[in-house]
Amino acid sequence: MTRRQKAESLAAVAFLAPNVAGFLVFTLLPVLGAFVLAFTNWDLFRPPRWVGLFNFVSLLGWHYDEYAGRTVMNDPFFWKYVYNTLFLMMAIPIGIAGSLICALLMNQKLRGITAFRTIYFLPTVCSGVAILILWKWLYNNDIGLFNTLIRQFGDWIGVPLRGPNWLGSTEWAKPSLMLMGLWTGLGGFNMILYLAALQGVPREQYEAAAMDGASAWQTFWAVTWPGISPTTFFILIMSVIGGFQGGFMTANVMTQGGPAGSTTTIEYYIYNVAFTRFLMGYASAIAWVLFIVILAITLLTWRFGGRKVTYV
Amino acid sequence: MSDRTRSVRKTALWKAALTYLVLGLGAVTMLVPFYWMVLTSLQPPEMAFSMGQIRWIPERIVWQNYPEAWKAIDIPRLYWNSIVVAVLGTLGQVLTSSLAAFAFARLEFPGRDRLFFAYLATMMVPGSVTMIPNFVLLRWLGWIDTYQALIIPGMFSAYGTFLLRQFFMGLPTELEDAAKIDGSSYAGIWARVTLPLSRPALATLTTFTFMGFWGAYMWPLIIIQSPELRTLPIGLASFVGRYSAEYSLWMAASVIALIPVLLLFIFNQRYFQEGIKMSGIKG
Amino acid sequence: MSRTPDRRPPLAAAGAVLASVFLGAALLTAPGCAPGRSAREGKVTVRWVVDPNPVRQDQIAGFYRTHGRGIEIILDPDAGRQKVLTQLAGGIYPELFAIYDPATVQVFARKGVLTDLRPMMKRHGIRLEDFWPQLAPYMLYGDQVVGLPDNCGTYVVFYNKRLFREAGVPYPREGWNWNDLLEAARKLTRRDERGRTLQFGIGYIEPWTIFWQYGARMYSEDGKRCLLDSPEAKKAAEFWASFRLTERVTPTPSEEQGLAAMGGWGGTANLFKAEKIAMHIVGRWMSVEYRKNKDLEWDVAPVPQTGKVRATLLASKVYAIPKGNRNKEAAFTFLKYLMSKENQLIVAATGDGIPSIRAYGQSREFLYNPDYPNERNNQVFLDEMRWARPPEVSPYISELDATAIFNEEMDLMWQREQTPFQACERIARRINAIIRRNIANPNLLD
Repeated sequence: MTRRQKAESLAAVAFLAPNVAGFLVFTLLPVLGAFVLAFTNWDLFRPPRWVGLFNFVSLLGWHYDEYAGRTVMNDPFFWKYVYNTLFLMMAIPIGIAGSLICALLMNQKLRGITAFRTIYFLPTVCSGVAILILWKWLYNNDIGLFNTLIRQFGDWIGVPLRGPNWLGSTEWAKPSLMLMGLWTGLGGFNMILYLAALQGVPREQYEAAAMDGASAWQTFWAVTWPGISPTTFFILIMSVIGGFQGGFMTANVMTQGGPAGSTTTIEYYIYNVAFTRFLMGYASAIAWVLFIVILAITLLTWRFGGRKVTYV
Repeated sequence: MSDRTRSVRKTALWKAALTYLVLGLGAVTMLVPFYWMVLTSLQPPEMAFSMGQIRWIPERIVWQNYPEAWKAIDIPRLYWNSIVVAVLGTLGQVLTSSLAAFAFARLEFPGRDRLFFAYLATMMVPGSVTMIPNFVLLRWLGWIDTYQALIIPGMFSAYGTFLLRQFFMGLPTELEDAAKIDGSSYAGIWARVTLPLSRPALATLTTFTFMGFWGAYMWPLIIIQSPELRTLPIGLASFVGRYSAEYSLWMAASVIALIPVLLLFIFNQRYFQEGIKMSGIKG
Repeated sequence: MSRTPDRRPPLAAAGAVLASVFLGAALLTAPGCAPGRSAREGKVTVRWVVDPNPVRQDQIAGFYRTHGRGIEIILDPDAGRQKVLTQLAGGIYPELFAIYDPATVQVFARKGVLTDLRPMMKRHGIRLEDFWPQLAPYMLYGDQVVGLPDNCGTYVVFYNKRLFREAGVPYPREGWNWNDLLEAARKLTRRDERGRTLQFGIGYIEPWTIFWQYGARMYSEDGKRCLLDSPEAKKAAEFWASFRLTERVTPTPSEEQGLAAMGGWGGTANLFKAEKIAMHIVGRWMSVEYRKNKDLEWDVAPVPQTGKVRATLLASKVYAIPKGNRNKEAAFTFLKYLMSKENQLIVAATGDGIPSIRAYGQSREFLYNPDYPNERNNQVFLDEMRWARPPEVSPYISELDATAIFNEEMDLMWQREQTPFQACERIARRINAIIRRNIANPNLLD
């Protein structure tokens, strides 16, 4: 190591120290604690008992059910909820694209654009239990705003139209939640991140593109898109991490995970296993499996997506 | 005026009109939740449960919910606690994150990327399973039912570090190189070059972090026992009973609780807008 | 190096800010500095973790009135299970916390979390025999008393008198049966010309108010089998489901859900309060809500009976003292107050259920409250007590699994993807598979 490198490493230690110290204590310790619990049977009250891989076998294994006469998964709930979670995550790319379009529109120097930005951010500010309850009303099958509008539109064109039973049916519940999430998030955090990123794209590059006579479309792909790629990368990774752990709030307030378990996500399941069934060890085992899946996907994204990211 | 400029101007005008139309239509829907909150807060309680047939245009407006909500929960106290927690927590997080992000983005040191990935990895563990270990840890520190418990654990987030790292990596290096040649230390670069250039990102992180602290519900609910240390979300929850909710009062208090976040957002607006002034630097 | 690099300000400034953040936080939390907390120094506090119903404030005020302010009561809202469970697991014990169903009482007791209250009851002269005997599953674990309720509620029919009058339907009477109720519900359901429901006859009915009367049971006596696939249960299920599926006199889950305060609970209550539902079968605690709508003219009637087996549901909530708590005497002083005449009559007066102690339940104050002169039929709540039963519990399956399965299959039934017969069969089959697995491997349950 040269002197320069040494000095740089030393500086790095100084820069990292405050965050890493707190991180080790308040994040890593609890995470490690949770992971150790996965190998135990802990009911929250009596001391944990070491059970080795038992929780993982209960979660991922299968057995022959002599009454049913066939092989069944030990925990069929888990697989169903994995499917639900993945299904809900399909909204992620659409959401990212929507936020980007929003940010591009908002990035123009137009009169009153700040007011628009604030308005688009409002759903994020207002988010919380109350707004989820409002959505329940909007989605209501008989009297909700959506179905009323659909019905009135039907009357207007003279066709008896009937809206779907949004949150009440197994086919529509998940799309309803996705739609809600998309709309809420459109002008939310991701749009703000994109706005900040758009400020960071060097103006010279736009000027150069204009000089070359590039169209708006060409400029976007040649200048803007690479320029904001670090932010896209950030949003993508955070959305994947968040998506796998999402769905608690909506399930808890709006659907209780129903109908017929169709909106129960892994996160909601973990919560219920831990705090309704008192199986903290089992909950930790699910968290472990979830962790490994997210880690693998993030690593893949990092490897392949990371290459496409250009840092000026 | 030449034909060319005229046509350019005409296109620009059309573009602006189209943008306004699209954004305006969207804005109407985006206003719905906020409008509903305010509307409900201005309705007499018996209107708030009329079969979900939301009257979008109120028949009459009553203000009494605001003083009543103010009486029902100790709003000044809750406000003060929320402000203390959110301001200190946000300051702490933005500071530590920007330092760490600088190291991850700009310094070369062994194991850098692996350490960074470890940071990211901890975000992949669901909160439901870390809640109890965290609680046990704070009990061991003797921090149960204190302000520290609300502020300090939230200060060291991997999220903020990641966000700022991405932004720092996207910054042009020319200015830093110039500063280095001038003999500035890393700390000097961080403070004089990187941070001023990152105002949009810092404003973003400040807004997000503040909102995170401001809206935190589960952790304060579990860690705080004394009424004197409760934050706004805990106070708001007392309008929601096991069988029903006091919608009018709840929404009145929610609107009051919303104000600082809105103000902060509006204040930070100009930083979202602010570009990096590059002209004249490069040459 | 041409110029001295300026090293001083940035890191130092950063350090200073960081230090001041820590210092500020430390200062704010130092004893005496956190305003209000100092006032309690040296005082015994009882932290009472319970749902933050406005009635709780009356109850605390009553305690201060009768016991002075030597013990400070802190109402700590529970809002879901995570809070109290994390605190218990972390060894920070509330003095007193509420448990809302017998299954959870049994689980907590089995895990050794709850203090046996018997010795303290003996010392303070609280007698188990004074409580309604039907509450035993909420209070007892083996020969221990693990929780004491201050209220309870038999399920009765709340009905809207104005809607009954307008529809020309006679008010429900003692001795009516389920067909009478269904007939009334049909007449009370109003639809517009497009078939949209404007008003429902009756809100969601808790299945067990019907199932038990048909002779159906959830579990066998020993809890080792789910009996929902019995012919009685299937018949009951068919009748129960018909209110929604064929008669359409009860709102569907989504119709109801649109108005629920939090999750499933508040839906029917809100609709009844808004006079969009004519009948609601529920316990007395709901009168706290219904009194808020001054225009609502309501009364109560007994749950209809089929004549075979008389039954209705009994709900309660008990307060328990966790074992690790060091403040047990103070906790019990407050618990004793909750069982005293003062508080029991607050329960009676505020409408927060029936007093848990039989004598106060049967008191004049419960039967007639001059502040609410229209509530003349409180005797109905007491009459129903004769055949009221708490929900069934099996020690061999966790409540979550059983409820999740029950709700899932019933959801499919509400969507007409299966018949009530099929739903019952599938529920029994799935629950029994889990019971068998748990009996073979007790590790899974504990």
